[in-house]
Amino acid sequence: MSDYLNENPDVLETNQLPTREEDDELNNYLSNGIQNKNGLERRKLLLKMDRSLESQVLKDVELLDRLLLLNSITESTSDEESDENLKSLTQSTHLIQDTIDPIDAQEIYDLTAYIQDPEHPLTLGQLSIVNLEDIQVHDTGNQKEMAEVVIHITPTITHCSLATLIGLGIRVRLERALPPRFRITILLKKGTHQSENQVNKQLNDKERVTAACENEQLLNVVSNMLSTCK
Amino acid sequence: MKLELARCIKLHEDKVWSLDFSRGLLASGSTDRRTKIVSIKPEAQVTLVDELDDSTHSKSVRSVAWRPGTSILATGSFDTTVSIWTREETEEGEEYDSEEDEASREYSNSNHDNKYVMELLAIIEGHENEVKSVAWSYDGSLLATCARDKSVWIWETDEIGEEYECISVLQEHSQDVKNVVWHPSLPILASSSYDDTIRIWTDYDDDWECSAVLNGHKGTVWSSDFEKSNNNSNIRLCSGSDDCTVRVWKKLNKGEVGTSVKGTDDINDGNANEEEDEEEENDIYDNDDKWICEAILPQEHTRSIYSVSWGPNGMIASAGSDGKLVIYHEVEDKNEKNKMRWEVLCIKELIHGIYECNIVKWIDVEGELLLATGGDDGYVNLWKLI
Amino acid sequence: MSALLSEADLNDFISPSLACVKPTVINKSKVEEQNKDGEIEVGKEPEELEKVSITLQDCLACVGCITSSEEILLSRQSHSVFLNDWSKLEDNKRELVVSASPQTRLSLANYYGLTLQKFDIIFVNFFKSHFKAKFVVGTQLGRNVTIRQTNNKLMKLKEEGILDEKPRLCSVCPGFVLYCEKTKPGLVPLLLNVKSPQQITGSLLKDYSKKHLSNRLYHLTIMPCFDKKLEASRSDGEEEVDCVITPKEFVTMLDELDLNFKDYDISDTSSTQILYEMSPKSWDPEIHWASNEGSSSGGYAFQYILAMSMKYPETDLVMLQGKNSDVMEYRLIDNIQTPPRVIASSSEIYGFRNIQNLVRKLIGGDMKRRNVKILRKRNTTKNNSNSKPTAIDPHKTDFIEVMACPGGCINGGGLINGEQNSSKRRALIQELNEKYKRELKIIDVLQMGYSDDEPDYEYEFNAVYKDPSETQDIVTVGNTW
Repeated sequence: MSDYLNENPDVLETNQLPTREEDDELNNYLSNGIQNKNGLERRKLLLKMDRSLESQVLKDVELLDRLLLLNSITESTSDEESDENLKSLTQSTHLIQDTIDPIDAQEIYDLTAYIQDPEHPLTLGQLSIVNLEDIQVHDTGNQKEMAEVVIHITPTITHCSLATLIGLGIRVRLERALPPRFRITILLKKGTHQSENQVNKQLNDKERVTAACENEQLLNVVSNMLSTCK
Repeated sequence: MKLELARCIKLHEDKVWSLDFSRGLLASGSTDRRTKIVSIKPEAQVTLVDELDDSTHSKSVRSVAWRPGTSILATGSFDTTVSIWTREETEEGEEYDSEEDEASREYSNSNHDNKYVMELLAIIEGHENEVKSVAWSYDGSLLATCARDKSVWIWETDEIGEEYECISVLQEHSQDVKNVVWHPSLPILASSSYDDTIRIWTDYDDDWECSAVLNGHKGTVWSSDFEKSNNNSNIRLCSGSDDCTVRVWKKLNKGEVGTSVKGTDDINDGNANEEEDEEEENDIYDNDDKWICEAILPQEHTRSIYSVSWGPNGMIASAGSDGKLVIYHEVEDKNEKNKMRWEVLCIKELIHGIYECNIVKWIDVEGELLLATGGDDGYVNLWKLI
Repeated sequence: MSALLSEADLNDFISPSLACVKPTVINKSKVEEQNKDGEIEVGKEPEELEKVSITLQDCLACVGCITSSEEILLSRQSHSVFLNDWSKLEDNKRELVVSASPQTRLSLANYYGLTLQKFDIIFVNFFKSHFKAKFVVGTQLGRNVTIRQTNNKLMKLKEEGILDEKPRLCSVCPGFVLYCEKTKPGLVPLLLNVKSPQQITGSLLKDYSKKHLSNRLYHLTIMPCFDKKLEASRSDGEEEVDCVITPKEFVTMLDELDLNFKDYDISDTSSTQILYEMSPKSWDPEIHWASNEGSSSGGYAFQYILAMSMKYPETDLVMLQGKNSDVMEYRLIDNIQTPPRVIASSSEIYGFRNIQNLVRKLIGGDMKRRNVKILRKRNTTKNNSNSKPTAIDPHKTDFIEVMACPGGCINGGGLINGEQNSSKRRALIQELNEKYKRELKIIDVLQMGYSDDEPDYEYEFNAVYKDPSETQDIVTVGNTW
């Protein structure tokens, strides 16, 4: 079974997988900080450098984000009374009221990282097939608006013959778990598979996926993969 | 002009894939494995008249098509088969009362207890896997079917529509064939595919052959539709794709081949033109047709376009994953006389709420032109252009 | 690969699946063997993958795709493989023998602008001079055996009344045989197990060498389609054929070797002598280079009717053209009785579309299971209204000569029919069909003598089809959508 990890150096222990901090409420605010593009980019970059939880960098950046968030809120409330600002403010408060739970990358990660690899007793998170920094979410939380998730997955080997199956598992998991407003795009990370375009095309073909979900045998395999999900 | 919702009907429990309208009856096929028939009368009065025996197909009903001028319906399913149904005329079903305060409304099953009037005539087998589309030729003598097995089959049938003989298996597509559509008055078939191309098929001698390949789309071509024109020397086709574009293709007549064609200049995407240049002035293609991409319509869609429909009013409608319904019309160019160009007439967003739209069709209800759409929400919506 | 051998050419029957699942499957078992304690190793990519290759036997036993992929076919059987093998023949104490089917000879003669007679002489001389071939022969001796054994078996089955239930299907077209074995197991019992001229010619040559020669033979054959390569790789035909190439590859090979075919012209001299010189003793070139009456795909359907007409001399042989040019029916009618009675019948069914109707007629699917009532009701009403007897019913004949290619073997995927345009291609088929009748010497197979101890040349058919729901292999399942 040596044929499935080469480009990713380690198999992660489950407790090494990125998780949400205890303080969920604060984290929700943090994820709202996604609107702050610079902060997000910076965070992503740092996450790439060191994604263990103990990482000082990460702790620092989170602290920074929280401060930024607090600042921006106070700023906008203390701003002058221009019509435009007022409008945007009411809009955003309206948004917050309507927003029951905007979904963020960590949630998508939690939904997918515990899917079991079809061949091995390891999860996609452990094999670094699914990585937090490769998940993009655009969601206002408004149930009447469309939202988007883009996941880049990293197959363990460039000729992985199960890439389409793994992708299908992720898609089925998300389609079942996410509200219908989500459009899900699953792509192979660039350069990680010799049939990258072919696999991408298939994974994002709605009709093929629907038909796959009516294939009992395939569905059994997928169900097994999903049986380890929390 | 704008699009107004005239009626919205919850017909299915899952994705509505396909709609076809003929002689006042709209048929719909869905992932819930059911096929339903509703009658549509002026003022968008909708009545459910039948529900086909849902034990016939074991998987999604992907495509439905009325045989022109008859009550024969073909349905193609992911279970690899095509079934043929005929409707025995009986009393009308109960009418949908239209007094509801909201446009949408679920009807209860008690309205139409076991009133099956469509009878199964035949099951056609042959495809190796999911049938994606079925379509009848204009005169109803031929049925085209296509599947993920990369093939398009043409079946010949008798008047009652019971016996089917395969007269052609067309295997030139290199991938999943998504859709087949016939010309409204000529024996010409177009098939669109996951291989990003559209192929045009015509009858030579005693077999069907590919007479043209339309290259240009940069993604799966989900759907195409011929222009509804009485002028058979002007054959055009529109197509919608994963690449978020709608294109209009034109068959060149003998005299036009080799001469530069107006309207192609503003297409930056040179695929169609490049090929034309290469094959200029030779007669290798003496019995093949020449097609060009005449226009790429203004791009409004942000995700896959699943369906296009060319209306009898000359307008093209497109819809897809982004939930937008876009209507395009052809107008004379302001700068150049006699030159036509396509413009967006109107756009409607969220036509099935936050759900995707799989099918759009222009339907003529006793002279009133409506648009019917089917979505992942299981609804069939009717739209009025006002 | 040369331009002549484009991908499209190989698509002469059913295109292969998108991805062959075999390499990973094979690889996996090897890798797992190495891994004793089940420990998970990381950071290693198996290096064996590239080296693990697929044999044509693998393809025959796999349900993954109908015919093998282009790459695999050509890596196992191609002109390059032949050239490589040829360079080692002397060391291996083997001698080259070449056979060619009539369709390939016509295609090549047409390509070089030669009459068939002239082509044959140059062809023989080319293999003699350039490749030092021991023999160069036609395939008619093999075909004679195929026809004779086919007729014998059919006549026996006819007598037993078995043919009245369901027809027997000719197995000479490997494309069709593979199609049955891989996707239509219900048809396999109907396949008549008499081997094709390619395989029997191989057997005859090898038998000859065992008796008369000290060296083993290497049998190269030139055949009209790519599926013949797979046929040669069947486990029930070992040693019969070593390499199959098509006329397209033949032309490519000469180009690559920078040889001019016509340089080998010796027709000024007493040229037909070379045909004798290059035949095994007791092999008459007037016979093995000849052909027989009937279709240009071998005439098996016609030869059966011919044999039956000799058994029933007071009968009329009727030919009925079917719905399209690829369907033909032969009937032997006894006109003495009233009403006239059909004594025997056979038909030719070519091309995928006609095969589909055949399949549907012979093994209807689960149509009945699903909707018995309604269909039965319909059928009875229909029988009343439609009392006209059908003019032609090829699916109900005793024996069907099935060929996967439209037009039959004269339109094989390996022939040089450069014209992609359909009407030109059709015109070419017609032209070649006429040449087939005009330029090949026609012999009467049924009058030929044969030895009593002629063995039966039989295929062992093997339905490899598996219900997809029975597949256990996860890679296969994962790639079914």
